[in-house]
Amino acid sequence: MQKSFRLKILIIEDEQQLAESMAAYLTVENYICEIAFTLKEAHDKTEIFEYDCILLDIGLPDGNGLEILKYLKADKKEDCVLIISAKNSLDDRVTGLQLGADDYLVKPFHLTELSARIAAIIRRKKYHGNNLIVFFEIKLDTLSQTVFIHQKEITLTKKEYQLLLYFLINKGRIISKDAIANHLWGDEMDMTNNFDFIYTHIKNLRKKLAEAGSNDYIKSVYGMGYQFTNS
Amino acid sequence: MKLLTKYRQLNLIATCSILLVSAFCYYIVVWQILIAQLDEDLTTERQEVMDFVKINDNLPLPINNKTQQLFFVPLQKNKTSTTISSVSIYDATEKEKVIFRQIEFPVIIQGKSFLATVREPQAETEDLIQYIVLVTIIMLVILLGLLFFINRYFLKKLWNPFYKTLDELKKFSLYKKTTLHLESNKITEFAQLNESVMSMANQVKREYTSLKVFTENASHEMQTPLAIIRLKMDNLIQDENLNAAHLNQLNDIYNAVGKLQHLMQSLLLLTKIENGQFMANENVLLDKLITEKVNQFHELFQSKNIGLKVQLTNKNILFNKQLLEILLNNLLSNAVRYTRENGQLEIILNDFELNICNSGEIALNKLEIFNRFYKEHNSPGMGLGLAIIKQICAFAHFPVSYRFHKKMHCFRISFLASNFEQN
Repeated sequence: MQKSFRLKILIIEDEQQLAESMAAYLTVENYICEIAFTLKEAHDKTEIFEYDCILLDIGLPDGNGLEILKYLKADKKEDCVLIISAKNSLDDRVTGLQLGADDYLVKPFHLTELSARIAAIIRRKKYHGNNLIVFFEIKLDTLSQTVFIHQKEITLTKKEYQLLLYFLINKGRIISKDAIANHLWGDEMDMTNNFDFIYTHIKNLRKKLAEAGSNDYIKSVYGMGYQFTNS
Repeated sequence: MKLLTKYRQLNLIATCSILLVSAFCYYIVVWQILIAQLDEDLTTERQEVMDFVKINDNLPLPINNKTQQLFFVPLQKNKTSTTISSVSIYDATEKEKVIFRQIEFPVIIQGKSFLATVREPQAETEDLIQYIVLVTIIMLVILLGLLFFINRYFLKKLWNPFYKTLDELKKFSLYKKTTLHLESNKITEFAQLNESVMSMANQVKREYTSLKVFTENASHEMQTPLAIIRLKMDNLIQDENLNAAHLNQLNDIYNAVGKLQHLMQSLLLLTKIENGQFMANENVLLDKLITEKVNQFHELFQSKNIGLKVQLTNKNILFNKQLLEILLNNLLSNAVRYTRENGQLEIILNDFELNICNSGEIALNKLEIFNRFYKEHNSPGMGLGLAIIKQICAFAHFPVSYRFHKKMHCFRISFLASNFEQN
């Protein structure tokens, strides 16, 4: 995704440490990040600027973050909104999505997951034409969910496709096994840190990519996780 | 049993016994009076006979008619006493035994002793008693009938406020936003009842709300530091200067944080279920949900080469989808974690129960496994998975049980005791 322009993200989060961690990670991902710590600050910023994506924490010191959604709706603004909440409550989720939020992420989450969600939202909502993610000889079409190596289509299972997409969006970053398991199987499976089963999928994906003539970009990182990189 | 029914039963028993006892007493008293009357008559007869003998020094003529008999028998021995008794004598004309009251006394005529007997039939007395019994029974029936209708009418009217209160309480729910309001009543007891119930319900509601707020706050407060740790680490591992030893240590921290997070979420979930913060009002197709979950766990079963046998029949239950998902997640996670390589997993759902069995070596402690933080040796879990399963089942009124059968750990969840199905 070599783009000539950088996408702007507003992080509305009262916890400074969290906001800065997210901003640091996303800046490396080539986003421009701004932070608002209060509802009022967020209000002022969204009024003046337009953002490609807004990360919205619900529990803010001076009010409910959902207010921002109402305001954006009333103002007919089309910023993408990803709600980030500490409350895994069905009510909040439903209300948030009804008010026009694009996705909902429960704390704590992995930065790689955040990055993948932001990319998905922006792709879906802002750039209808641009469904292609290209990484050297690998080309992935998110609309048709197909993968090409050297312009030749390869067949992947659903999980392998999701895994590759996750790698491509977080290319160059070290992704923990925990993050991969959560992304592919959801966080409700209680595996108590036994992620051996991920290995099979990585192995299969690697094999399919290699058979189609692709370089091996998937690197294992000391029991910690994996990295998709060409270095 | 309804209060009115119970009252009616007790009332019936009490009324009947009182009437029966009094009828019996009445019978005894009347009988005594009538017999005493008869005896007095007989004594008068004796006096008349004695008077006759004294004047005439001869026996009066014997009498034998329906109402009276008088006859004399020569007496061998000397008898001085007078006796009164009841005798039963066969009456040839009536062809039945008839009971007489008789008085026997000696008379001496011209130096010869005779035994005089005067008999009067007791039948009249018996008839009288029969009438009395009949009247008593009729009275009893009339009285009971009257009491029945009077009770029915008045009791219903009297207890009406109580049933109203009961209806209101049935409608009352902690999860709804309305507070309980009961009308005041003129009857002191009901007024007090309503007042107490209202104050109790509203107190409970306040406590519940504050507990709920606490749970949410606790969740929020604990999630934030955990989220910070995780995000910082996600950033930290990107550092190119880290070597293998660093990354290994970081990996251990990751795992510990993951465990901590899972522990916290489990505890909060238990609290939430205990507080009844879930509603059981969703129609869930259990067989469909199980299929979904089995698909989700597919790779995990595969990675351990676990043989899967799934038998599902259509089953619709009224409960909470989120909780059912958690329940299945925990059951399947356990099955994956504790089944050995190449083991067997059976999931069988029918109309009455869900059975999840996986291969195992030795039976688990039946009494302890559902307790919080109970762990078998070498168990990698925290000991909350089954506690959550138990709590969810308790909330749903589904009895859950464990047994070890044919080298399989079997967890059975029965749907029979559920109140929700019928509603």
